[in-house]
Amino acid sequence: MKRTLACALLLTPAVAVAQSSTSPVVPARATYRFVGHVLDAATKQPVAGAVVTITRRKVAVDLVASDDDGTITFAAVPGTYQLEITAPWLTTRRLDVTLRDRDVSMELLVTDDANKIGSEEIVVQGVAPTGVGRTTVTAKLGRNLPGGGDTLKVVQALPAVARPPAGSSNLIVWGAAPRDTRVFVDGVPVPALYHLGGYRAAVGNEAIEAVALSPAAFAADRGGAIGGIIDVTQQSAAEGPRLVLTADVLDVGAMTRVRTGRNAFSVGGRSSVLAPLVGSVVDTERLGANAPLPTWADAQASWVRPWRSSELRMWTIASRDRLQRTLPAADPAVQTTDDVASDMVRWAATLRHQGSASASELTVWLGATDQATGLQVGELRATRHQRAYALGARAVERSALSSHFDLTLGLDLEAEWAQLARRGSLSIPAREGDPRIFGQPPGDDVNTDNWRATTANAGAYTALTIAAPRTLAVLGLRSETWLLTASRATPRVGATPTVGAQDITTTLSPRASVKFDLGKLAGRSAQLRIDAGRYLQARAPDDSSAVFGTPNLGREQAWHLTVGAQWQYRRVIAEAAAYARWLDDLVVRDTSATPKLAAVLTQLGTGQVYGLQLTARAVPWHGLEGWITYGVSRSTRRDEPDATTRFFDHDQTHNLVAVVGWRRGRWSLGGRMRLASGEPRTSVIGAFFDARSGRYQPIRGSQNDVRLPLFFAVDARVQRSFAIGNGTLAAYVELQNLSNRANPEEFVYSADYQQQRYLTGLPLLTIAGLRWELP
Amino acid sequence: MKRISLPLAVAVSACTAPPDQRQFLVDETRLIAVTATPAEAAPGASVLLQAYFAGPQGTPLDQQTTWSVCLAPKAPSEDNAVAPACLDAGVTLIGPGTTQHTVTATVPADACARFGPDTPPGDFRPRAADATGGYYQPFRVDATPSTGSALARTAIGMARIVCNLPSAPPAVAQAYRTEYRANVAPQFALTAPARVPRDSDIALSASWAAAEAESYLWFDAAADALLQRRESMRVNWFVTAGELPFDASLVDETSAATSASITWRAPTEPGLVTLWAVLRDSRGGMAVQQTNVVVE
Repeated sequence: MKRTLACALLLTPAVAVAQSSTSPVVPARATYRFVGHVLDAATKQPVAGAVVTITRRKVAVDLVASDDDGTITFAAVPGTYQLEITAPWLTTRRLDVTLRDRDVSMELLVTDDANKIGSEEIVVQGVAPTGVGRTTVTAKLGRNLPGGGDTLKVVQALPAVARPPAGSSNLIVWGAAPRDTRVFVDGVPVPALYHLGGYRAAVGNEAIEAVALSPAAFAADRGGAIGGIIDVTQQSAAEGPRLVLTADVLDVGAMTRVRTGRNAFSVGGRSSVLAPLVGSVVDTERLGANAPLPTWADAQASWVRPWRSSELRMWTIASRDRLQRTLPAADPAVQTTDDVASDMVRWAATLRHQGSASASELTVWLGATDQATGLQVGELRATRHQRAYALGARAVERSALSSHFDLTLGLDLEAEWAQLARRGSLSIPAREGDPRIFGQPPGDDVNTDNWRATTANAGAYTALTIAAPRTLAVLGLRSETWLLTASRATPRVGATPTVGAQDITTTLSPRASVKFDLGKLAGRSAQLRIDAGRYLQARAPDDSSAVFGTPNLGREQAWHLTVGAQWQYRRVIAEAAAYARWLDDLVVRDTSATPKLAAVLTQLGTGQVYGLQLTARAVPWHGLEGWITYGVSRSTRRDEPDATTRFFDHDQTHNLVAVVGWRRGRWSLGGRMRLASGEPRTSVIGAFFDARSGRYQPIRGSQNDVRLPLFFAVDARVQRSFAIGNGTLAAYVELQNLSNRANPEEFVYSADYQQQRYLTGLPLLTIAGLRWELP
Repeated sequence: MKRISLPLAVAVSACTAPPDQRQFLVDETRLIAVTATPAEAAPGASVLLQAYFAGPQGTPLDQQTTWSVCLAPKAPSEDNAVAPACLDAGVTLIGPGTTQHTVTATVPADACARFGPDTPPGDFRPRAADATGGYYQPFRVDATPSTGSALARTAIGMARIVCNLPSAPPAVAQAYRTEYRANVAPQFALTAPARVPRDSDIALSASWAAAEAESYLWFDAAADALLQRRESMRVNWFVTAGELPFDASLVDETSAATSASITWRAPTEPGLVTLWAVLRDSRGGMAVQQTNVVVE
């Protein structure tokens, strides 16, 4: 029976991360599902915490562990897989499982091994390292961890993710700037993972099945990012509870799923309540600048219908964010008013087809975003408005060439048309690399521009998978043709006819992944994985202004190299990952006093990121799972060839995170500990009096020459479920920053810059909520 | 569907407040204003610059000033009023000031190229104007001795310069050249009682004639048209003792008000208190008034 190796690679997104044959548009559930119930052969009781290694052609491709109810699940295209079920107290059991043309559910009977009980160790053969640094978190675990019950909030505590400042929705992944990491929902790019303020994810919690982070060196099926990739997988409308109602101090929400015949529908939404609740107990004007109180709402709907060997799925998500706040000041010239309005909608349709020796998939999507921001400092007002329409399509076909070779071909088309308008100072908003002093009013220069920008990318990729004993290699190549246009090449002067700027370029990005089975290392099975590749992303449409930017900017690029090793000791999987990024052609400010016309931004920026990450993950066992990770990194930038190398604005040298979740019966507990270096900041070494504004202004030291102090916080969450009729009511309480430590988030200064203090983050914060579920 | 009650527990606290941003209390010698007369001048013209000091005992008498002209333009995205070089070596010495802390300086002939919209040959970016369409030549004043702290050491004063209108159709630019009226520094009066009881609320007032908030031509780049706008007026208040509820009062350009007032809480101890008011119009003109009040 000739089966494709690509099929095997589809088994798990965790393995798939660095292999070009896997695509996020082919999530695991796209194919047939295998559901195994690990049961004690004698008692028929569920066995939790058994480790199941899934292997194909002697290549281990996935590792799963049984839940409290003994269930293991994986999805795959047809093929024969070898399952090895192990646990310290079990007799190792091996069996073959064949997936043909339908889902398979079966019992996996295991027996206790009296000789093993109390023994020192169990060796799991062939544990495949996941993509280096890649982490997948299911909604089941995510909801059990501190984060307001929001699965996607757990991303901020994942290995490879720097601790975000309070009130920030930025994600800093392995030293990459926030916009360098793209977020995909079922393969469709979305502008942001979180709602404004970072309190909630932009996709409804009840619609989430899992989230995966690929911090670097991802496969050829993805483009448009020089940082990492975040894949959010939505739960199928055909799965999950019929009705869920949620309410806590952040928001209220509902999700319902309806199945009629072969059709399944789901509809859900959330709306925030945080702002009015906080406003009822505190004077919101006393809140710090890092504690915005936005309002938000989101909605999700999906429809799925399988027929024959195909499945059609359509879904849409939408989000809405608003923020209006005033930071009062004793001098009306520095009183600050912030207003933000942001709307986003995405619609997608996916057709999946499963052949006997191949799999194919086609996704088309449409989207629109509308973002308007206003910042008024005294009498100076800066505004920005962007309305963008986007569409894209993805298609992928996988087929076997021989028993050792597998070929994947894919298309990835994306285009966005943006209409932009900006007015105000060039330094609003601040860019990475700006020597900004927190709290200092922006410059009083006033610029204005209205322009359009097109960003299109036609990508085609191929990946050849080569399977050999003890080695699995994936050689990928992504070819992209970029079309970048700006409606004005120079600033508008009177009625001078508009001349636009256009750039059409084709690029090639090689990607490679090699996995070696090292055999026994220190008595335990070990594997080594190396991933590398070239990555490109287009300039932001915002940067293509002839006034605020440079219309003919092109692509930023990076080379990634990651080396990872993985061992398993009992129920703990240990990983070590070393990584490096070399960034080039970064869009940075022209620091000269008199830049060329329509060229205040250049692509002379370069950067380097080096780091090491050590992670230990606990395999689920008796309801207990989690991870502890320590990362050390150094991320630097240089804004022009002759400039001094400086720290990246969000560089975090040390980052230690421990996350644990535990479920037992009706109780579940979650905990999180975070210890992280402070971000670099530019010191203030003096001040002078600006007589025209009547304010003091800072004299800066070297850029990013000091750091904020260490951050430390412990969060805890406890949840209790109650059976009420046919439904289940879960009540939870979450305590954030248990030690009530006043973590410094920013340096703040007196008006004359003679005193320096810290703007601190949130104190001990209690969040309580309810979740009612009708299965 | 079951109905459920939603008991929510909320425990939210605010983030800590930043350090004191108040500047009204003059508890050490400091510069509070640098005026230029005329307030707006063409390149090559002379301007009279004057520094104003405030001290805990009233106007300090021991301050000496040294004046320089700044020649280093700042980068377009610089948030500070001047380039770092203007606080370092990027200045040309004018000389010491008089006992009244004044000096006569010449606006450099190339001021509109260094700090304004004129660009050298070769497609360079014209500098952006401020919200009123203005460009400014910076002057630096260094004070000695620096009493108490660094606050009195260095200040940057600005003289608004008359430059061409960039990025405008020729007809609009021509109309601007002929119709624009240079800014004139405002005049105003500071009103306060001569004697006040201790620990009492006293109304202070700064008032000016309606014409002091001048109308001026402003180029609307979005509409390619010249518009008439009115200056906004801002008053900064300073006292050597007592309490003020805020540092400054603003009369924005849409308001026809010709005065600003504030309630001063007189100190609990008797003595002589000095009050200053600095009136700034939005085009860079400013004036200073001072008065003494006896607290009984």
